[in-house]
Amino acid sequence: MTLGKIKMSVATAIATVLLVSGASAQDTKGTKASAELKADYDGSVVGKRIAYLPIMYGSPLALEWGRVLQREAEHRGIIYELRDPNSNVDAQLQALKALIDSQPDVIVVQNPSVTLLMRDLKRAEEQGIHVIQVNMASNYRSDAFVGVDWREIGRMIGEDVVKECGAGSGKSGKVAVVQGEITAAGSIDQMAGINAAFAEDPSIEIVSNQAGNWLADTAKNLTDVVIQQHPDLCAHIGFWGLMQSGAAQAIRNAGKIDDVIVYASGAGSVLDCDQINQGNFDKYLSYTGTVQGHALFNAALSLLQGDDEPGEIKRAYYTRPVWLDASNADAKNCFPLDEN
Amino acid sequence: MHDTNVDTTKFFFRLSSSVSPRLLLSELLMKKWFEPAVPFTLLVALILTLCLTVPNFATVRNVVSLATLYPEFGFVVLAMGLSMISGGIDLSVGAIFAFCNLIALILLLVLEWSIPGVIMGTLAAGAFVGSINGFLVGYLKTRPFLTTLVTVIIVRSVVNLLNQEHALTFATNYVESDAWDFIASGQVLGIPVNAMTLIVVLIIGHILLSRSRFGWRLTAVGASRKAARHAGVNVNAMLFSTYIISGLLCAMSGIFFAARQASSDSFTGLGWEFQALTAAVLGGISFAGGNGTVWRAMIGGLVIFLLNNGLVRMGVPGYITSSSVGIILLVAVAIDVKWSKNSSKASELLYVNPTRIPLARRPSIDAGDDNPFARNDRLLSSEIFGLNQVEGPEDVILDRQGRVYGSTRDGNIIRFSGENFKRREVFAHIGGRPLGMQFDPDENLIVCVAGMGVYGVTREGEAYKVTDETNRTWYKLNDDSRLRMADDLDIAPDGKIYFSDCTTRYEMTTNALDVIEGRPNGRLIVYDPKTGKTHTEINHLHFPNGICVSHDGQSVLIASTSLSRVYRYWIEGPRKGGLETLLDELPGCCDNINRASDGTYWLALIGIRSPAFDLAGHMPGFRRRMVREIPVDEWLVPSLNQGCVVKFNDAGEVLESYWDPEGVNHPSVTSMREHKGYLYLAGLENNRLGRIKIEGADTEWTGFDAYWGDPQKGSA
Amino acid sequence: MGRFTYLKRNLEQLVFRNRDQHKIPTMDGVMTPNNLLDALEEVGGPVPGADDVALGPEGTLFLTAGNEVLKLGGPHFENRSVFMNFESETGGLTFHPDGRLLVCVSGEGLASINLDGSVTWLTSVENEALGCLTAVTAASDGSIYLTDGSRTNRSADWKRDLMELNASGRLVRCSSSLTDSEVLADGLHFPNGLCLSSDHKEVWFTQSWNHSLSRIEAGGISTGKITTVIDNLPAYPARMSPAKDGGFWIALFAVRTHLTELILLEDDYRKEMMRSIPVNYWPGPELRSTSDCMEPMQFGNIITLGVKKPWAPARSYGLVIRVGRNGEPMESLHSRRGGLNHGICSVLETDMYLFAVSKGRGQLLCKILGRSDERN
Repeated sequence: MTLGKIKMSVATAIATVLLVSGASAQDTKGTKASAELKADYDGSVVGKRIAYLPIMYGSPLALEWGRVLQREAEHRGIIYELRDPNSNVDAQLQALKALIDSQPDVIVVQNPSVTLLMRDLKRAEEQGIHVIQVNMASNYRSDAFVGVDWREIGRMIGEDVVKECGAGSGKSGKVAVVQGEITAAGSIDQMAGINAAFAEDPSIEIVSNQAGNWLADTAKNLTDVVIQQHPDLCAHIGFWGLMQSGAAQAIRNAGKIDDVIVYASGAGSVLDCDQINQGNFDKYLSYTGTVQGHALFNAALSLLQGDDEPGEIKRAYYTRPVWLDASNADAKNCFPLDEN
Repeated sequence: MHDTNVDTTKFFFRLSSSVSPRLLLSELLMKKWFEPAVPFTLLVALILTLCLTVPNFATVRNVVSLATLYPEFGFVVLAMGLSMISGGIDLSVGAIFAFCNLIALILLLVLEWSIPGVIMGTLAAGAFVGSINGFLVGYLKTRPFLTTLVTVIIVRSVVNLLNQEHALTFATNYVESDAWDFIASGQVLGIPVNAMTLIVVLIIGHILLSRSRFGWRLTAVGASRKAARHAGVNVNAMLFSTYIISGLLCAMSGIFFAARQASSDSFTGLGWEFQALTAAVLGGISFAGGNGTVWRAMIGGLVIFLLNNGLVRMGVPGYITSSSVGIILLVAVAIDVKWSKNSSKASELLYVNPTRIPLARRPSIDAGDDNPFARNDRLLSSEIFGLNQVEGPEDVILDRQGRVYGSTRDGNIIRFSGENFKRREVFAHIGGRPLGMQFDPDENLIVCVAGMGVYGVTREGEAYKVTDETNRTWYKLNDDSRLRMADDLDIAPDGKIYFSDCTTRYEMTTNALDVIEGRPNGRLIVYDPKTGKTHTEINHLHFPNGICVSHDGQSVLIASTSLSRVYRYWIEGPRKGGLETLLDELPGCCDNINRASDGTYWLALIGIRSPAFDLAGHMPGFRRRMVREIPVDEWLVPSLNQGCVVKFNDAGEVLESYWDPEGVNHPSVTSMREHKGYLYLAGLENNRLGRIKIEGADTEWTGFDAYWGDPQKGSA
Repeated sequence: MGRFTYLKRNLEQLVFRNRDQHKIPTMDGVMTPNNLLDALEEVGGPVPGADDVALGPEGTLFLTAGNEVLKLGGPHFENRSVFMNFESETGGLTFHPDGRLLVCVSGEGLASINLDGSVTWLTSVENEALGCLTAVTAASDGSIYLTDGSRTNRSADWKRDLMELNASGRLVRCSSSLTDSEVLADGLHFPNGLCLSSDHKEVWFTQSWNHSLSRIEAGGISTGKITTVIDNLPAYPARMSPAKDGGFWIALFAVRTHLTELILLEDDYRKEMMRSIPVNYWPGPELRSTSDCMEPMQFGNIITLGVKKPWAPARSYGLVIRVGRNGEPMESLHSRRGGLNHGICSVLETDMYLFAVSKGRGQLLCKILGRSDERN
């Protein structure tokens, strides 16, 4: 309990005492319906365990999800557990197995690839644990998916690229893409969305399409080459803000930052917004990490309150991607990192 | 200044004087099994900690799930360990693992091979990459570190390229196969199949490494390529095959991972080479090569695996987990480097463990004093012979023909005969360093040989072994079954040979350390020619040196050098088996004892207890720091440059002494032998023998006759 | 306290594995052992207790030995006579420029023997007795410089002073008339010899227990700065005298051994040793060696196959070195283990001779020098 909460409860207590002293006892209970609702709610959620297993807790998005989850869960009396494999897939695999053995009520997991954790997620549900996959899904459909629709992300970016670089724009129509981990859901589906959008304008040409494996360094190295080969590049798409900052650096180094339209998508943290405001990213599609965190928690709540056995019904909670650019990349739309 | 309240004949006292924690540690350090003991203890401690701190850790379910997860890493650690034992390093283990995982998936899902085909194909792929490493390292003599580093880069790029191409196929295809499922999650005897395979591989690996020619050669190559090549080992082929085996092990790992996870991405096996390296070094497989077992690799591997697993499960922030492995590697490598460089030094530093020496009162030796020890010049009148014809004769003896036997440091027994002993011949070559001597009834010369044991020389000069080992003391860490330094012997009337093994901790060249240490490291051993058995009669004696069977044959007199005492040990009669002090309060360190013609005994005092040394005897810490901090030549020792022989009787009374107080003729006299009215003198560091006429001695008495009777006169 | 220092030493050994425990410099270069001291000629018969020598008027020599000051005259110094007898041991001596003979007398002070034979004394400085005067020299301006080895021990008890780890010696200056005196330097580690630089601007002096050669401004104030010239000699320095080329001769009365250095660190052993063992049986430096088996023996001293190793640690040793005007070692004369001329306490170069006093042997020694230009 933080100091603020203590103050708050003290204030509430005092207020209650004041009220009680001036009114009849009946008023302290409120309406019967609301009391029952709350009692049912508490009955299904209080004391339950939510385990959170991101790829790397140090990334802004994972941090934001974790922050929201923890704050909300603890407020509702739900036990929150964090396992941080720090990008070590072996550790993540081990942690997941151990989590399954320890039987929490909900596991929130971010998949490094569509296959790696698949079997174990299935096993988790077989053992009565609800599984929520966040943003990065696996080939296994679990109780809930929370996150962006990667095809939608891909399509939105793709369509914007067509608008900026396509027929009639007077630009070269050349586009370079740096994907994330090639086997991650975020890469596979996003690429599909982009391809779908580009299919509508034959003047768009993908001159480079490579995997940056979520690493800024790799993205920079790849882009260094691309920008040399294609000085007339119109747009550059990177699948993740932190990775794309490397590509943007390469473009800036080549003196093309004002010519090439740099697209990125990502968590929507101040790190990405800084990139926008520094002119490195021209258009940025934010997943809105804070919103996703709340969506995650709500998905968990509905799983806990529902009667469905794990694996019985598959739900999805897509969050709405939000365009950010220099005009709106401000504190209102970008979540800070230091609030933990 | 002196201890009178200590009874050094009591076994318990002597045993407790042999015990010290420092001593234990130094002896532990010298044990080969002690090296993995440290990581093993670490592993046990880690497991206990995890059981206590991680919920549900000590459950069957968890153990099974850990056993399912570990083997892939285990194979890779083994591959790394093997390459390190060969004196190299295989940084490509993680990459080969990822590559084989991918190959297995491609063969299975893309090419849709049969399961045996997938397995064979994957193993072949692993062996192929390994063979490239092996060819470069073994035949082209490239450096393993750089070679395998390059392999990593190439193999990783291949993996990434193929991944891009086939990722979607892996993600969407699925093969229904019982055999594949068995590899993925089957169990044998309740043990996951991959863990079972690992166990089998470990056992085979252990036998291969420790019991096969291949293993010995591999270790030899790892320890020193040059030496191995000189010993006729085909170093190139050995290295070649090592890297192939390494590749095969990684391939096994890849097959199991492919079956279980059906997943391949750019981070499969990423950083495993680093973790495997940490594990191998932690387990005690030295960077220096030539040193390691499969078990050490597994101990290290398990520590790293469990540490990772435990830390993640404890909810420890990820960066701490990652950096902790790094720190462990740094520390382990530092220890490895320091250890391989200094472990012998460390055990050497710890090895000498002086204790308080329970010395009795020191009698005066002042020349004017009225006591039997008063210094005199009686040895200055000796006739010297054999000058520069002997080298350090510790003992001297005469045969029935009056010929004199001495020895040299290179293991020869020298015989002098004729007028003034001018005739010198090499009577026998035994080797080692001959010390005490005695004739048996058949006129064989029985000789104690330091570093070898007890040997005999026939009348014809042929050497033969009498004994070179005794029973091992069950409670000692140090294997004391070997005779380290047989020093002096005598033969009882029943033919049993009693001899002293003066130290079980030092050698001939370092035996001064035993005196400085002052612990009861020696023993009295008996060899029975009738049974051919050797048996330790008295354990834990303080540097037992001279041995003499008493005139009546009932007891054995034992001279303790470091305690300056003479014991009597009863071998017959009512007190049989009892040990008692016959002489203490001696002015110096005792050496050999021999019979005198008048029914008394001669005793050589090799060292005189100077007040400064006596004081050091009471200060073990001072002596320990002395041997550790200053050169050997500077050590404070008892005075060794005088000659001193004393005479005592069965009642424990010292009767008289013979001195060469400044060592002019006979410094450091270690033995003397009476023969026909003369006393013959020998010294461990001398280049001469000598004799003096003994006033009033029986000029017909000889040692041989006193022991075995004169065959012409009949038994004595 | 003792336990702590032992622990500290143990730790230091672990951490600084390759550091020398006791930093005794090896004798190499110009310090390489030779037998030159044993090649010196004897001047007359033995003089038990011979300690210091000074050149007197008309080619005579004055020698302190025991309680006496001897005068040696004649072409080969063969005429010995007792010049003066004191109540206790005499030590350093020198002639004052005005012709007086200055003699250090143990336990008494400095005796100034006037030309008429009367004696004037300097017995204290700054109200503290001068009980351990070791050496004296006089400057051309008439001022006299003295070294007082220890406040608590007499000079004959030097070995106890070493084992007590004392540093209570003083460098004293007094006026020609012996009336005014002052302490130039205090807290010295048994100052055991001194000499003025050729320009008489500096006093050079030795300290035995820290094996050093130092210098201090001669006319300076009593708190003058001491400059260390050599800080780690392999032996214990004693008296010094000027060399013709402007440098100095230094007599070193015994070499350091690792065992002695160890014992100096071993408080328990050393204290018990001083309490219970007669001083001649203490391990440590000596002026002479005997073969007494009650004396401590070091392992290297064992006679092996009839040979006494000359390189073995030496309980006593003979060593004289010459240093240049800046203190750089120029040459050395040795008498090694087994040699005769050990325990050199004094050395003196005159026009024709190099004299050395072997206190260990009780013998005045000399070497006839060529003309000075023959030596480089």
